[in-house]
Amino acid sequence: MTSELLSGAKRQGAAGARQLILSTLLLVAGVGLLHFVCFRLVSKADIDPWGLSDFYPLSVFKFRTPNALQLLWAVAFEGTFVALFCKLTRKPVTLFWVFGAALLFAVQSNLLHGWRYGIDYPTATSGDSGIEYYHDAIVIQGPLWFLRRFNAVQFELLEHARTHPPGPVLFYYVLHRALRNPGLISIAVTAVSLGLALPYWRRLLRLTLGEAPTSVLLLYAILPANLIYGLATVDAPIAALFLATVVSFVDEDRRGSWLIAAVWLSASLFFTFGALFLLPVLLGFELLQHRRVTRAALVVGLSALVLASLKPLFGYGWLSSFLRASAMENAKGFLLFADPKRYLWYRLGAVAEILCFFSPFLAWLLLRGVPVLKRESPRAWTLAWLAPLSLALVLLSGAMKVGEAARICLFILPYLLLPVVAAWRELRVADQFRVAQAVFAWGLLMQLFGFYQW
Amino acid sequence: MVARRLCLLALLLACSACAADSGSGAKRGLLLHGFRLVDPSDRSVRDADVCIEHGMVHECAPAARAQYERVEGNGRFLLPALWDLSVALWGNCSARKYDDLYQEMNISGALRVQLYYGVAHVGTFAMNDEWVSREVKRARALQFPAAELLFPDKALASKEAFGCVPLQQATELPALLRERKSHEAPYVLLFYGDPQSKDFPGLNRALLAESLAQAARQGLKGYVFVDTWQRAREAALLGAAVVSGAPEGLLDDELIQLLRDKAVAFAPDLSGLELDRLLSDESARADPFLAASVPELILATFRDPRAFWPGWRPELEHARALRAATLGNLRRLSEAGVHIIQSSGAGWTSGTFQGYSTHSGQTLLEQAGVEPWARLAAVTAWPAELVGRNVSFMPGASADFIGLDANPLLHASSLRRLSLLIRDGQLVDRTTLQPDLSRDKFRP
Repeated sequence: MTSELLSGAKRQGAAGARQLILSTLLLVAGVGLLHFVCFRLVSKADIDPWGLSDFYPLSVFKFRTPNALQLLWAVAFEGTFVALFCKLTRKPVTLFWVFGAALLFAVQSNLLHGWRYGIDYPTATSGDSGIEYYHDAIVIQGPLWFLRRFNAVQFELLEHARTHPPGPVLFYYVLHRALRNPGLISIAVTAVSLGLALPYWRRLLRLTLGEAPTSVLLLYAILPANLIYGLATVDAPIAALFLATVVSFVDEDRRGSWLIAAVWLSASLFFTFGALFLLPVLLGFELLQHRRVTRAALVVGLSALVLASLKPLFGYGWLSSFLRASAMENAKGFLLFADPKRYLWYRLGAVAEILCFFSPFLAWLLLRGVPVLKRESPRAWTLAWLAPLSLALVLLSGAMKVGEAARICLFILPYLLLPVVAAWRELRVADQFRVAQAVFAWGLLMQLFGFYQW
Repeated sequence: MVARRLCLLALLLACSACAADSGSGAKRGLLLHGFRLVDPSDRSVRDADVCIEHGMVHECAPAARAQYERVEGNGRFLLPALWDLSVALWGNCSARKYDDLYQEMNISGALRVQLYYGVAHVGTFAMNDEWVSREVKRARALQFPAAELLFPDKALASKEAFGCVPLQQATELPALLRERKSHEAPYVLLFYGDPQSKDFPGLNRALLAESLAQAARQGLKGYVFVDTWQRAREAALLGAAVVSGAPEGLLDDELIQLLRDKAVAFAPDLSGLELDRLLSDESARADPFLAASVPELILATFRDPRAFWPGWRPELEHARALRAATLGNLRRLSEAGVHIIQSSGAGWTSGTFQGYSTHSGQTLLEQAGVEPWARLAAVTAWPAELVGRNVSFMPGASADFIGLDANPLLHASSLRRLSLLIRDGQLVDRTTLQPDLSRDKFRP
């Protein structure tokens, strides 16, 4: 099977039904094997003590059987996608149209669960009694009030907010004040993420691989991970902030881009402590490209200054909140020693989960694209291995205790897409269309047969 | 371009949100004027003004009263807010099994619902220590209105069981009590029954005695669950501050006298009677006061006999069989002057509900013939006394009050006519405490 795929890879430009099917079978077999081996060695209770998933390695997953109406809707949405994809890729369009289509795809795919569970639930879950950022956002007294007291009340915040800086709660607070309706807030979260990510995704492609066709811009939007989790949580805007940081940083020819990178890095660090993932990427990129780290040091230094200034200005101490979050996350010590079973199986599960939400077709194109990318754009190639390496370090550190890698790691997708784009450009237009259709359909199928929210 | 516009929009939204940041009021506090103060601690009804500052009742000279925000009572009744010392704050049970259908809430959500019903002090147990410890501080830290959470921690029992921590020998006691003391547990819960029982693995007599003695040395009162009147007697003799349960049979006069003489309160388990009432009375299920916090989906299960989970049946049968005895005992205890502490078991027994069951429990006390002052003290002064508080309108008392449109001494149902809520010295808009009933958990 593998040799068939590899031989397919040698025939440049081919992405026939056979390759698509084989890549799917390989992924399904790999995930199935991981599932089987895992449960031969550990019990369900060990790996999923909270009963969040019906199928390891998907960490938050409830299986469902779609009804006829939902199947019909899925067919209709696939039809919409086909029509829009054809229309938008026929001739160059502005980014606004790509943004509109991307937003529509994300909303449509979630509507397969209906408004309540697809759109409203990602923000409000079970109403006013959930554990999401939203549930803290609706009770805080105000943004300045919250910033001033964050260090004092961090432990009393709910599960997600307490291990993050104040950014996510304030983000939802602003959206709540402006929109009031959790469903509209979910859509706004996607709009903000796409609005920030798409221009930077285009810029990244231009900087590393030349002009970016609309199909490649759309490819980012239709990744199953984005279709499923784009509305779900603050991880989507966080992924956009990370992308903005990296792209501004590598955009060395643009005047003042380091300053913009510092602003985005500060914003990223204000939203998640996981933004530390960016530091090896920025430092490593400059070191490998230029044999120096001056620019990275400048960006990181300025961001540190911005965060440090929050204390005298607003009373919020970033470092102390980081140390507290770290202590809460690792109350029982390093996960490898505290719970080796979960450490091992969730690290492996995280990789499998990211691939599932990336789709088998793009995983296959990723493999095909690596040699092309290495050859055509050393800059892009550096990013394409540096970012996953940094993510691997994050995973090895024990982060992501109950998995959720596909959601939390939305930020890794642009870098995984770089080799895909390299391979994509060598596909015939008809094959590009076939792959795009398959990726979108994969996302819809995942939505049809599963529910991925807490 | 799109990113630039969105950033601009975000900036504008952020600015407007910052501008809306709440500021502190200019007034010193609240002046409650024109209320009739109903004080169960000294059994008095009087007309007087109450000044509130920093969450406490304050002495205020007539000249200083202009500095307070005036709240007009217009003859309404003001009562200390209610207490319930036996609640699990996960939400509300249906008539079906927990796993099948349950109205889920987070702890803050349940505490807000409790406050919606005028219950400002809630004792919980059988819950995850870490979560509860955090929630004890959460409402105060974030300054949103919710009932106060009192956390005595898990009950000490002979073996591992739901909501219990096993106590095998007296040497384990100091650590367990220290732990409770460290998170300011207001009292210690103890099971006293058959040590081999699966559902109620009680301590043996020697361990109970040692537990009560060591707890007393640490300044902790003992709240003892019993399964028989004989064990209630023994617990009282050993120094329990409260005995709780629904033992079979009539109380004898000797035990009543013992409880009174040793100032031991009795906390009846009324949850089975609540379930019986809900199953047999359509008007109870259709009560709008209940529907304000419980979705129809949950209430409907009490109408459908097929939905009834057999696991609830033993408790129901027990309560039905003992109904007359339970109510008769309560009347006799009340007449003898024994303190009654009314608690609901909401959240872990079917037929009881967060906040609401404090009101329905009052109706049961009324039906039992418990005299009005004792009935009100059972949800105010006496539970407060157990945790060393004094609820009254005197300076220094906590400012947790409910305003009522009807006299609570006349009927238990008067407590439902809540028109004012003051929690920790702040006026609270009750409508903001009502739970969101439009959503439930995803079920594939």
